[in-house]
Amino acid sequence: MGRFSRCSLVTVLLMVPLILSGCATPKPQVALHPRADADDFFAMLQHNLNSIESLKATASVVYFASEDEAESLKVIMAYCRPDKLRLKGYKSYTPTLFDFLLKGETWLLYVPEEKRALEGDLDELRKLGGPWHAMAAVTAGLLGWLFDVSPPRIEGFVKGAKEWEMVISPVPEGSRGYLTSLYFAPGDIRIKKQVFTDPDGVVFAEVAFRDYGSHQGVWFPREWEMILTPTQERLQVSIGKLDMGAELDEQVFEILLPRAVEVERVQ
Amino acid sequence: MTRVASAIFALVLAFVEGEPSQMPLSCHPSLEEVLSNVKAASEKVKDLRAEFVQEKIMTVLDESEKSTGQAFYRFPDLLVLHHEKPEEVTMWIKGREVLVYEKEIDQLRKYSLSEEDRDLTFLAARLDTKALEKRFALSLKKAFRKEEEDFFIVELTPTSEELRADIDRVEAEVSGRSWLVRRISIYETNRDITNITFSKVRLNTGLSGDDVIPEVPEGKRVIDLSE
Repeated sequence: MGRFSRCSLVTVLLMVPLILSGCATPKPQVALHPRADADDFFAMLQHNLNSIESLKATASVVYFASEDEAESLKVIMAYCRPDKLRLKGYKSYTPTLFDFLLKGETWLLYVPEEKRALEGDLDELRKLGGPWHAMAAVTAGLLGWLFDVSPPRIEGFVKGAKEWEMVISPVPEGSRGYLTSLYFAPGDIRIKKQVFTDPDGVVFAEVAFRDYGSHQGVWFPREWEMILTPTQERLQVSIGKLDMGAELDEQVFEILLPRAVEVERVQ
Repeated sequence: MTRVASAIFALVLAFVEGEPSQMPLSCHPSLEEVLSNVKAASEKVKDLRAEFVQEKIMTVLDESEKSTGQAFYRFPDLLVLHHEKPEEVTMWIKGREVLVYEKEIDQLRKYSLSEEDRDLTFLAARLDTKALEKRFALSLKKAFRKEEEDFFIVELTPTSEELRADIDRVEAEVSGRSWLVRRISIYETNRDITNITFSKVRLNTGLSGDDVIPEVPEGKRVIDLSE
């Protein structure tokens, strides 16, 4: 996998915790009503969404292409409600590796080493990074319904003795997108695991979330690990500094492109 | 390797190399005199070792990161940059070949420099002002005295389109006592700033004893990313 693909993967995957931040929840000790149905449960997941106006975080990311090939980088992430996201990837000894900006329905990705930038609509995010397009599609879809206030269609909600599972339908509805399953410990609304399943029912990716901390009343996982099931590639993310409610200047959501850089439209 | 990275190496060498001089300055010299003094000192350098602190400032995102390490140079074309903290990363640059070892993930990668970047990187082995001026417009931005020592800020503004894409300008703070650069500041076009501050520079020690240059890990699989 080329550097570009890796960057794209990281870009896409780092959007997942934002989704989770949207699903960030009140303290898990909150007792669920015995008759709470899926909608109620999801409403609890979204409870804090409106309270998160902004967020800034740093993360260390290690990507394992195989047992003996890995890549690491650092990422700064800034988010401002409702729909602005900036991700900047670098190594301590290099200049910027990639710069990603999502604003509303459009995104821009600048990779200095390639001396080019790509832009597109949210729907086109899936076209980044070759093999990772499916993940991008899922993420974009999730972002889509997250930014849209209307709740997603919940396909199923199974309250097992040891584990609760919520299955969310593909976005947009009726598409051949990916099913997303969220797993919880009973009565604990912190997401333990997220599983993506392709239209043929094959598990595509699993993301585990650990080391939750409460930040200004919002629960956020500091450690998460994704495994792309078909290839067993892994990605580990460790959140460093986390600032909920960070004051973010409008400049944070602008990428200054060098004059010589051409922007290619992804369609 | 990116052009910016190469430029950083080049500038590090271009100005770090210099021999402590006993010549005190009582007035501000011209740019030509400053460069001449740096060049004269650099021409006597066979090897050097220095400690460095590198600070990356991501202005717009209001974040910064500091790393520390050691730099080694041996005439004519070997440069080793050993980052010790926060992550241990070692870079060996010999001619056009660059090896990077990241200890945390135990990975050894190989890159290659273009001829132009190689020339930039090792420019300072024998400081060639004309070559430097091919890629930068040089000016003496500031001169000041601090704790009984004169300092000069030499500003380098890229003239080539390629360099200008990444770098807005570079400032090198030269000591008028030793003709060493104490600090280099690289202002990128995206508003990021990298400050590299040098200390404990030792010249022509033969790089033996405590000055042993880190070696490339033996037997490691090299991931070849050279073109």
